[in-house]
Parts: sequence; C-alpha cells; structure tokens
Amino acid sequence: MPTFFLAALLLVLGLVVPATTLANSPLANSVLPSSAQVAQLAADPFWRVLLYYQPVHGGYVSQATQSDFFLSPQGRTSPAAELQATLQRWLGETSPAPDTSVSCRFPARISWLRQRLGITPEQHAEAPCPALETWLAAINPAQATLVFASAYLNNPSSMFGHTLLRIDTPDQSESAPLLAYAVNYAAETRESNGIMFAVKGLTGGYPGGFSILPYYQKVKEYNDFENRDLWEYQLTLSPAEIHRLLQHLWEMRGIHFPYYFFSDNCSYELLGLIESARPGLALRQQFPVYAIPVDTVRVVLAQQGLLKAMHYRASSATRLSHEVAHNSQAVNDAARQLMQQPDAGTPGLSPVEHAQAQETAYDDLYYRYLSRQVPADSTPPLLRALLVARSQTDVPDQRTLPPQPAVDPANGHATSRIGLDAGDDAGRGFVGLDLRPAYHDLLDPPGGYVAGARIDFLDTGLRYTPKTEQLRLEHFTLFAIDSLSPRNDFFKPLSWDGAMGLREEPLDASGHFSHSDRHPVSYAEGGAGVSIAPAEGMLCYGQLQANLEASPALKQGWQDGFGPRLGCLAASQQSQWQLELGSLYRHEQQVWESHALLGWQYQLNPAQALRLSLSVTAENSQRAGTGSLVWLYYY
Amino acid sequence: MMKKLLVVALLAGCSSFAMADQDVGCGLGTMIFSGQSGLLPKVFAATTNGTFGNQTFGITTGTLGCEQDGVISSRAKLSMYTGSNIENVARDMSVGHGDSLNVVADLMGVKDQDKAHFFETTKANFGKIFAPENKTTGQILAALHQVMVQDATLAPYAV
Repeated sequence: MPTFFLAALLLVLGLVVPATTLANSPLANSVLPSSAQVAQLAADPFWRVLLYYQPVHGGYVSQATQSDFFLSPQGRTSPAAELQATLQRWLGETSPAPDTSVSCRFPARISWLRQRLGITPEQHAEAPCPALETWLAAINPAQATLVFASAYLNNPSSMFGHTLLRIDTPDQSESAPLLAYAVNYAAETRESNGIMFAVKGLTGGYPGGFSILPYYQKVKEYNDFENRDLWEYQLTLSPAEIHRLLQHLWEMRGIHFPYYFFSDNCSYELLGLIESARPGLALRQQFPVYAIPVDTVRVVLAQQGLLKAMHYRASSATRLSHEVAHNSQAVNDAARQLMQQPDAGTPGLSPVEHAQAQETAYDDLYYRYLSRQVPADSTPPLLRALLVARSQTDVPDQRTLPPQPAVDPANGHATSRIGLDAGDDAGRGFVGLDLRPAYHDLLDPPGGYVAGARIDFLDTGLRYTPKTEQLRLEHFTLFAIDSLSPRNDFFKPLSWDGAMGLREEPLDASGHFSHSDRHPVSYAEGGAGVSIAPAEGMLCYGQLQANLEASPALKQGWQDGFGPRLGCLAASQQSQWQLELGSLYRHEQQVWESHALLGWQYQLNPAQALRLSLSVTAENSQRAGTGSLVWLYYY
Repeated sequence: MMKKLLVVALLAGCSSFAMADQDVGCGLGTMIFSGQSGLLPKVFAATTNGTFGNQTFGITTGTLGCEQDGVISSRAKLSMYTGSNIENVARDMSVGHGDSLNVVADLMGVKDQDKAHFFETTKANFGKIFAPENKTTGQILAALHQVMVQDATLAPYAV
C-alpha cells in the first residue's frame, strides 16, 4: 500500500518514476505531503531565502543562474517546480550515495523539508555525507559574530565599510576568535585597473561568491595591511541556527551571482546568509535599491535580542597613534632615532622608556614598511634588529590597547538625510528641501564615522523663492569626497578631495559675477594638501584646488580655476563647526574668486539636528552672500 | 641536522599538495618581512571591499593544498597560522606577551600553567629563534622547536 501512495504522490508531483525505485521506499503514507502542503511549502518565504528567489513581474526569479543550483529545469523561475523536483529526487533516492545524494548537496533544503513534513529518519533514511561532516567538524560552529570593517581614509572604495560573518566555536579561549573561520562574500577578480574595476563593479561584471577562511587572515588584512578598525558584534543565534546557516553555506559552494558594488554586494548577500539561519528573518527586503554595509549591520542589530556583545579590534595604525600619543616627547624622539639605528643609546631614558621607544620604533617602521614608505630591501634587517634589541630589554610589554571609541559604527547617525531649510539669498527669502541618500559630510555628527572623511552621493537641493515664485535646483552633487587625515611626527598622509555635480553660482546671463543673479553650472573639482589636528576634536586643512566649470551662461561655455582652500573643523559633544576660506584664480578673466563659509550644526537628538550655514562669494569688490537655517532629519 | 629533519617533517605534512600551493608547505615557505606583495597603491586598488583576487582560500577557488573547502587541515594549522602572522608573532615574542604568540602556544598545546614560561623562554631566546639566517616560517618554527626541546618544561610540547 505505501508504494501506491508514494506513486500517487509522485504522480501528483508530476514525475514518472520507475516502479522499482519506489518499491523499496519505507515511506509511510501517513507522512506523504499533500498537494496543498507542497504548494504551501513552495510559497514559504524560507524556500525563497534558500534559493535566492526575488520577486520579478509578479513571479519569482532566482539570483542564481547556474543550472546545478537547481534540480528542476524550470527551477530558476519557479519555486514550486523546484520544490516538486527536490521532493521527487530526495524521496526517490532509495539507496543514495554518500556525498553525492541530494541531501548531501543541498542539506539545508532537505533538512527544512524534512522538518516541515515531519519525515523521520526511520521513514526515509539519509545517505552519510562525510565531506560535509568533516567540514562542519573542522569549523565546529556554535555562535556567530557579524564583523564590520570600518573605512580607512584615502581609499574611496573602502569608505562604505565591509562586513563578514565569523563562525565561532564553543571554545571561549582568547585564541578562539582568531582561529575561527570567517565567511566573506566578494567579487572574484584580479582586476588591477581602477576604472575597469569601477565600471564592472557597478554593472555586475564580476561573479560574486562566498568564501571561508581563517579569521586571522582577515584580521591581518584589515587591521595590518589596510589599517581598518574591526567591530565585532556577537549575535545570539543558537547553535542549531548556525548549523542551519552552515548547511546552507555548503549549498553555495561554487555558486556565483553577478556582483553589484552598491546593491547585490558583500553586505547584502551576507544578510541572505543570516536569513538562512532562522526562518522568519527578513533582512534584505529593507535594501531594495542599495545596501550600505553599516546599514545592514544596523538592520541585523535592530532585530530584537540579536546582539549579545560587542568587541573592538583596533587597527595597527590606531594602535600606533595611541602609542605615540601616550609616549613622552623624549620617547618619541628616541624612537625615531632607533628606527635608523636599532642599537643606538637612549641617554636620559629610564629602562621602561627605553622599552617604549624600542616598541614604537618597531611598530612605526613596520607600519611604514607595509605602506611602502621605506625601502623594501634595507628595512627588514632593521626590523629584525629592533626586535632582537627589544627582547634583550628586561621590561614587560609597554603597549596598551587604545580605548574603544564612544560611538560604534552601528550607532552613528543614519546614512540618509532630509533637510528643510529657510534662508536668504541676496535679499530674497527662500525655503528649500534637501535630500541626501548617502552618506556623511563634515558637519554631520562624527560618532561612528572616520573623522575627516566625507562621502556624499546624489545630494539634491531644491529652493523656492516666494517673491519670484521660482522653484530651482540649487545643487545636485553627483559625488563629493573629502579625505582629511591629519599629519603628525609619525604619520604623513596626503589629504585630498574630489567632487562632481551641478550648483548655482552668482553669475548673470552673460557670465559675469553678479550680486543678485544665479545661474547653474556643472563642475568637477579636486585638490590635495595636508591636514593637522591642533587639538582633540579639531582638524585643520590646507589644500590646492583645481576647478572646471561649464555652463551656457559662461562666456566660452566653460572656465577653469586654481587656488588654495583652507579650513578648520571642530566637534564637541553636541555640535560641529566648519570654517573655510578659499580662492580660485580664473585666468581667462584674470580675477580671483574667493569664498568664505561658516557652518554650525547642533544635534537635537540622534535623528534630528539644526544646521546654520553662511557663505559669501566675492570677486573684485563685488560680493554675493547667502545664509540658511536647516532642520535635518536622519533616517 | 635536527633542524633540517624537522623542516622536512613539517613539509611532509602537506608535501603532496606542494605543487599546487605557491606558498610551499602550508605557510612554512612564508618569508618573514616579505611585505605586502602584489597590492596596488591604495587609492586605486581593487580592494578587499568586494574582491578577493589575492585571497588564496575559499570554497569557490578549490583546494590549494592545506585546506579543503576552506578549512585548514589540523596538521597545517600551526604552520598556516605562523606563516600568516610571522611578523606579529615575532613582535609578541620580543616582549614575551601578546595575542599572536598566545595562539601559537595554544596551537602547540601549551597548557595555561606553562604559558608564562613559554613566553619567557621564547623572549630569552628570541635572537636564536629569529637569527638572521632564519628567513622562512619553517626555519623559524624549527629554531623554536630546538629551543623547546632543550627546556625541561617545554620539551613535551615540542613534538
């Protein structure tokens, strides 16, 4: 009788299976899924999670394009056909082969179906999966930690951050996190051309895939090579949930999706992986257009009770800065000398100070070595000699860990912002609306972001002038990046900026400077220079800028400019200041065009702020001024 | 002689894969202070923020020798770890303290009560372990092994 019912089931499922393969199945008729059950399972959101189905035109299409990810030829576009094919293959396997059976290839899918249908091992036995079991045993999963790699200055593609998932063992020893495995989703490319990388990265030109590697490799890569601080958010996912996640990760071996830098990126796909841990989690739906890594961390942590603990792992550069700030001037001076001559004497220093100088000399020289600021051939013997000398100094380790910043990236301001403003432009009052989808500018609250880093995308400002009943596009910023990293005795980074967009400028219809007239120009500009941090929470910068503008209002249709830009930023508990002065020499007209800008932002609460901005532009003896008060809302 | 034997023994653990592994011997061939090879100037680098052209492990890139489906074989754990972190291990050893050295102790099975002695001994013998002629992780591990076998407390861990 069971054979009959199973045959009936398989007919329902649309399969013609030789009777011999059914005859041996011990599956009892009482547990056979009804067609209603099959339909219900196919419509279950978790089935869509496991197979990466995305709603398209009223139907579904999987992100996966490889046919070996599916068991049905229609699998990519039909969740129901795929579910039917999976049940047929699975239940039809009477003597499944180790490692190659459907339950070894797709263990998460089969475990879920088994559990939902209540099919016991006695009713349908599974083949052993030694490869999977060995893999799971080596990883020894018990908990998971979401790791956020914060941005580092001077690399625009890192500014949005990066996320990975660490699979922790039950072991609580200090070594455990470093020896744990990290799951990373990344585009696979050896592209070295920055422009090709950008173009292909934006258009899905690279295959993206999951990889797994020891966490110490990632720590080395981010903390040491890239000088990015790591934030580790330990999650409360249960061992059973992590096990399910890894079963699913196993299914993803060799599977690639087109990688899109802004949307289907590292963080977005990692959310999909986390969804596979716990049926019912819906994380990716909050990122229909683009996924900023820090936002994905926030969405995960916003799940009730999902965060267990947080840990900060400072980068080499952060630790070195802390060390230098902690040392006396005499120690730092001695360290710089030891870098040249490891066995030099340090007269006047105590043994402890001598040890500090030796440590700082090594840490700084190693930092410079990795960032290629010192010769690659003559430096290694110096590094080795510094360590040998340190080992002969009988003083305990003097390095201390930098304190964890007060605000972690997940608690920084939200990355989207809307602003309502009212102000005056050359005697005409206006009201305005400003929309900025991403990410952070120099007056936004700095907590959780890299100080001195600005990255604005698609910032759009509209202004309405009641007097003239005019609605105008005041600015549209395609992108604007500032990378202001302060220099000190040890670090000598370059500060730079770059921006493209459209904005109104004080020009009349014939391209002359105007006190009252405004015309839009498109612009591209950028510059480079240096920054210093004269006091805690303060940053001052000086750069040389080049600017190119185009507009029908301009005499030749375009103009260029070249000149200095100087400014200071200051931040306190609740407010941020910016003062900037700049000049551009317009060589066609042989005039200097200067500007002064004062900005102040006061934080009302984490989501709201008031911003005052005053700016004056001057050419010869003419001036055009504007001022506004903006209410900002972060979301 | 002892040193050479040990290097050979350690290499043998993964020797069948050595041809596929550019870093011969699961990390043992890693040169200390070999720097950050192959990475481009940072501004235009195709960074790890989405690429792993320079990553050798991964369930997508197949077996490179000392790992299977991304996990490191237990025999290669110490050499892989030390090879990846040789500079940090050296830094920690020079002060007799630190996370990176602690991991090495754990991977060698050094018990908690013997760790302080392990740290102290490696610091005292730093010049021997990181002697200028020891350029690869394999040579450094062999020198460490030699120091340990001559120490009554640490000899049992040097196997």
